[in-house]
Formats: sequence, C-alpha cells, structure tokens
Amino acid sequence: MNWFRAGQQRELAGRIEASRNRIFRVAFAWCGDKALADDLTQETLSRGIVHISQLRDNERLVGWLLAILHRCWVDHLRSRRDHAGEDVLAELPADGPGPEHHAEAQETVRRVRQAVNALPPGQRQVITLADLEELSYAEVAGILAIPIGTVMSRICRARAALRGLLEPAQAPAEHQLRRVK
Amino acid sequence: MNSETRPDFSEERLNAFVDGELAPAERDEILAAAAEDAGLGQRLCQLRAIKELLRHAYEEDCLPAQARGRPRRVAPPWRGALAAGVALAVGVLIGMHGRPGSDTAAQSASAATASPAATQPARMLIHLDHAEAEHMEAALDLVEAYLARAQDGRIEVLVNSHGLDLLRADRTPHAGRIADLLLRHDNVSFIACEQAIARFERAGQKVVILPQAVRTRSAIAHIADRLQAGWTYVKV
Repeated sequence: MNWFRAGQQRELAGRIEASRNRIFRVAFAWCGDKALADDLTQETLSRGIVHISQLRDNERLVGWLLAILHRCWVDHLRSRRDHAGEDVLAELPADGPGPEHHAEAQETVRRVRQAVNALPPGQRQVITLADLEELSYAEVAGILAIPIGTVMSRICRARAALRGLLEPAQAPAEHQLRRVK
Repeated sequence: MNSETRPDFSEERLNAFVDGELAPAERDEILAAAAEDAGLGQRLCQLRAIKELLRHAYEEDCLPAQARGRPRRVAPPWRGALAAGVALAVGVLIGMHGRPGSDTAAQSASAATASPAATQPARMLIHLDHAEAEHMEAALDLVEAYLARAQDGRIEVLVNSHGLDLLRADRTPHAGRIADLLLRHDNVSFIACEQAIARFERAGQKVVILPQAVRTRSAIAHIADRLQAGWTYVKV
C-alpha cells in the first residue's frame, strides 16, 4: 500500500502549496510585515511538507498549517525577544504601528492594519483567525492551543480596541477609543 | 463595559452572536432584546462592521511574494453562518424602528413599516459579499421593508466579491426587482465594487453590470466612509 500513501502525500503536498496565499494573509495580519510574512509562510509550508505524515485528518489541512504557523511565529518572537513560557503572546506588549510602510492604495486599509498591529499579539492572532479565516472559536482554540474562554475574552478585548476605527473622525478624543480592561 | 448595552448580555455573548457561535435559542433571545433596544442593535451592527473591516483590510494587496501581481483566490467559503447575518440585519431593522416581538424576516418587515418615525432620516448601508440566493433575497427584502418605512432616509446596497452577482446583468435573478425599486424610489442606490469587477475580469470573466447600478472604487473604503458619516451598516 506504500504506493497509495505516496500518491496521497504528493496530493497533500500540492494542497499545502495551494494554501500559500491563505497562510501568508494570516501571517501578514499577525506580523504586519510582508517580508517576514513571506519567511513565516515559507517556513510553515516547509515544515508542513516535511511532517505531512503527521496530518491525521486530511480535511483539516489549513487548520493544521495554521497551528504550524502559530509555532513558527512563537519561535520567531522568542528568538527576537528572548522570551520563555507559553504565554509569551498574551503578555507581550503591542508592537505599535506596524512596519508596513508601503504606500497603500487605501487609507482605510492602512488604518485597519495599523490598528490590528497595535493589538497585543495574542489578541491579534485570535481576531484574525476568527475574522479572516472565519474559523469557529473551537477551531481557533485548537490551533493556538488555548482554552475557548481565552479565545472569547481576547476577541472581546480586540474588538473593543478596534472600535476606535469606527468612531466618526471628528469625535472628541475621549470617544475615539474605549478600551476594556 | 459600556452603558448602551443591556447588562444581562455580556460582551462575550454579543461577540459570540456576531461570530455565529450561539445556539439558535440564544440567538433569538438577543434578537428579541435588540428589537426593544435600538442601542443594542447598533452595538451588534458595530461589532459586525469591525469584523468586516478587518476582513476586507486583508483582501487587497495581500499576497505572498511569489504570487503578487497574479489574480488571487476569492474569499474563504462562508462558514455556515448564513442565517446569522440575515438574522442580525433583521434584528437591526426591528431595533432601529423600535418594534419588538417578531423573529422572521416577513414579520420584521411589517413591524418596520408600522413603527413610529425615527428622529432623523435613517441611512443604511446593506453589504452583500456572497451569492447565496437567500442572501440576495434577504438584502432586497430589507431594502423594501426599509423603503416602505423611511421615505426620507437613504439606503445603499453595496456588493463585492461574489455578492457582485446581484448586479451582474448576466447572472442576477433579480434584474426586474432592482429596476422596479429604482423606478419607484430615488433614495436607494445599488453599488458595485470596481475592485471586485477587476478581480473577476482578471480571472477571465466578462463582467456586465446592470446599467442602473453605480460603482465605487473600493467596497471597504465605501463602508468606512459611510460608517464615519454615521450610517447604519448591515451585513447580509
């Protein structure tokens, strides 16, 4: 049956490559930098292809790849900040405005991306998986290996912080951004 | 955390509602509450709008190095939350017009037509980005319910991604209904996103938009403009 498995794995490798755009988009939403997102995507797909035999449920390919992307990003953050502990993402301060300085065609796109980059990384991951990938809370929890309750509270905090995006531009400063503790 | 939402619905629940995570009974409970509390309806709209803004902010110009410049795939499949978006839109309509007690599109439409006038002309942006038949129907149902109620308001139907089908002359099943709405009302517009048109054209399709429809350069910029101008945003 090895020829069958080999054929299956070739097909999966093709599907992994076909997921590149989706993985890149999430990576970019997380890190805010296209060059770094390219690197993270490449690393994720490479690890995926190498470890393809570990994928149990072929239908869950993208979720599995996103979990690998998560580990790649944690590795990257750790190497950058020399941090230890699984909660590195929850505790890190926000990066501030992202390094994405390309001239964006749309001011709104720039503003939204900037606001997303200003979220703490843990919130950024959860909100982008829920909104860009339209994953369920349970799927997000599985990918990031965190409890569903944490997914819910991070989504709340992220959307509360992003609310400032929707306030009228002329609103007084104190109404611009309401944060939830 | 904020005063305009009822204390009995936590932020977690409202967010879960918007994310399609609640069981039907819980969803109905929130919809019923939104029918009595316009502030709650607006709050749900706002959460939904944030979700959409975020999604659209990563649609354009968001490709890995090796794929940039080539046509990208279309948005991920709608995750089965078909009813939630429509339900929210209906809830908002009811909430806007302060009429409790209905939980179907038809009932809410009549509720909307029967309720007392709002203090200022309501302006509503209905956004459709999927081609499911129920969504198209729901969008047009909402327009009709709204127009029957708010003669002095303004309503726009904005389509992008596969929602573009609603305004594609070669694909829409609703050309007659749209033409009729535009003939009878001058406060409604149907708007197509030029970037969506361009994307389908890059994929080799010939896109013919209904002549009565207008165009906007980018759906997301349009949504943001309207939100900043205080419009109610409804994602169907």
